[in-house]
Amino acid sequence: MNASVPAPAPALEQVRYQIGIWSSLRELASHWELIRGLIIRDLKVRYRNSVLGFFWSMLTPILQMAILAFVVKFAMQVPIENLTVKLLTGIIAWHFFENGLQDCADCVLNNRDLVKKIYFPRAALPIAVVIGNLIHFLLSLVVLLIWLAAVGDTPHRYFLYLFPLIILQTLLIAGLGLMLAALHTFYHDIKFIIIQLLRVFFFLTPVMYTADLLAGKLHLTLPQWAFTLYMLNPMATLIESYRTTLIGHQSPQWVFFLPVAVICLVMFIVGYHLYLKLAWRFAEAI
Amino acid sequence: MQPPAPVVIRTVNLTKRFSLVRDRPQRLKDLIISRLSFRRAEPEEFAALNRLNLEIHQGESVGIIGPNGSGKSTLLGIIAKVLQPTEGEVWVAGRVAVLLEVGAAFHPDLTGEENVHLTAAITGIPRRKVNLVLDEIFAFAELEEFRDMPVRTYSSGMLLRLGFATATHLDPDILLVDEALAVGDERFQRKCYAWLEEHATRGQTLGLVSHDLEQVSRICRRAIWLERGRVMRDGPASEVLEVYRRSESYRNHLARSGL
Repeated sequence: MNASVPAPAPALEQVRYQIGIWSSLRELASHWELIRGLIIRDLKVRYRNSVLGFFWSMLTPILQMAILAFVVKFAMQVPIENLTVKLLTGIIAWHFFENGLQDCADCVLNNRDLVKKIYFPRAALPIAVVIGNLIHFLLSLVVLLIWLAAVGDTPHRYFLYLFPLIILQTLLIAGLGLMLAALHTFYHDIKFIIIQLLRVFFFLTPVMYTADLLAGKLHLTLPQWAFTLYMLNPMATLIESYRTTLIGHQSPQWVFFLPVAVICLVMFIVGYHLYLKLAWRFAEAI
Repeated sequence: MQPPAPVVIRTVNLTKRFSLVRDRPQRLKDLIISRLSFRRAEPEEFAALNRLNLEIHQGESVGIIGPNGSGKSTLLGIIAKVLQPTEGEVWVAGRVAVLLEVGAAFHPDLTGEENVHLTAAITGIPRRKVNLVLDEIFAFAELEEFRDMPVRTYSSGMLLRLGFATATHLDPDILLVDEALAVGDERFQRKCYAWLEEHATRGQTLGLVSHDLEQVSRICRRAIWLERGRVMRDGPASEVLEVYRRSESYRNHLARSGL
């Protein structure tokens, strides 16, 4: 190599500071190693000095399943078929939602040294958090499917609904997560508000019960408009759809599923847009 | 005479204003109260950079000097795409890397090698390219035996060495250094200077923000003296440094630093 001859300079390009969702997604795709690196970093840090490591992610749903099975069988006398799996489906889907949002809220502040000094596609931070939580969710789902197979439910074509359901839930979490990540960076109350809201929505979502209970098939009755409103909470419809498809061997209830699919998509676009708008001020704000 | 090297950084009327609201609402309560109250404080603005026009050529090593608050770090931040300009344009050729103080990008629980990979990923360099220079990085940093140790076990000197080796060996076209070149002991510093000089001849451009005028005169051929967001003087480092040393703002700066 001839050290005295300078390499030709690359072309001079104008630096673009604000970019749109589409360019941002393309940039993320070219930085996939960064997203992978952030996910691996978070996993390594979470399980450092633990012998079982990743196995803990599997153990949590297994233990929950055992406890739930015990409680349902001996303590609750509710005449609902497959109640244990139905509740577990709700719980793991809710965990994905709750942990995803809470982790997103902190992700920019947790990386403040990086954000203040180096440029990288800012959206990588919350997106990596969401994908990390998605991986945990998928592991739990595997446990659930094994359980289903163990109690004699062979794989059926309604399993295919899992794909759109998981994608929609991930888009919903990503959209809300991007929004929270951006806002929490400026106003540190956001996280506390979110924790309270999640607590309320935990009860407004059929996690520890099923929507049948509200629909009037049992003794609780609601007027139809109230039930529609209730099901327009995307998590309510998503959890119920997981249950109808996986356990009930049916298509989801389209009247609720289609509007909720639109809500998830819109949330993703709005959240992403807001994040990109605010991301340029992160370095000044923290 | 050689033809002039191509321009790799150009700023056109670059302006950056920060709002000087003393207590920017940190909490929602403050925001709500400030929106409700009648006497809405007009946000005072402070121009960190004021219509700056600069051209930096390939292979130049430029020292940016000036008192605190003169806009040096803001300029670097804007070129590095961390801050957004209020007005004006920035043109850059090639990949920009920033050398951080004491391995700010490093995560204490990851090993040295994992941290190098993460740093590279952050700047968008593919893993296979990093693997090619991984041995060189640890050899330069003199940390071969500590490659698989978590960096929380490193001393601050070791962190600096790894930080410098990582930033430089990933071969950026433009290297920006903000007050971060006090790298380890005297011997290692000389090694760093030699590296930077060699790479300048190969066309790597260096931007160095520093209060250490001695360091600027050792590394940089050109110096830019900024003051209140404007260029006071721009030219050969020896000249600019001499004028700056005799200036009032430098004496004030020394007085404030207690020297």
